Amino acid sequence: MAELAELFQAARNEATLLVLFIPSADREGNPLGKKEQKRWVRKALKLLGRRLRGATAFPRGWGVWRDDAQASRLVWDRPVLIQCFTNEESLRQQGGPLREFLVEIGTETNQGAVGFVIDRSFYEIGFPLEGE
Amino acid sequence: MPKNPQEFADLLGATLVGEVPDVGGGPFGMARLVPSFCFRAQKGGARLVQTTLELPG
Repeated sequence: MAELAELFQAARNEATLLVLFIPSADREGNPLGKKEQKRWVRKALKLLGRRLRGATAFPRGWGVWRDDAQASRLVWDRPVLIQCFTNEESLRQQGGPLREFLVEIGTETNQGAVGFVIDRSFYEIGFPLEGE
Repeated sequence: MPKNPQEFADLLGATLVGEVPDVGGGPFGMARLVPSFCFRAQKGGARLVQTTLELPG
């Protein structure tokens, strides 16, 4: 990789892929609304732009979950995926603001869990049901 | 994957769930990642059964 950076005389060589998921619905399947989802996408992009120098949001996907805890009810979602090429050292430095954002979106949009990917590793931050 | 995946789980207060396929970046990589989407409807109870990705145009 370093050889290619040298070949192209690139100023940056980011080898770590961070992916965030912005949900369209809460943990009960109630839609957040396009406007609200867009607000969170913008907030995520601002954070990643300022802290990690850039990110790209992709068109909404379309997914469905089978909720085995609720009689196999299907819960539909239209997530937006955001990718950010960065490096491990930057992630270490920006871990605080990144976690703050993930907890904020999970809490304010009433999620069961917030997922994210770093390269090939999948992580989640869980949020207990009220009263648990 | 990160040299030490657990390090980032600890750093971000998250649980390391497992590995996803090596999808790379870009829209096609992201489309392949949708099935890993993890806003679960109920803590520990939901599972993805099908996804598609809509592209603009």
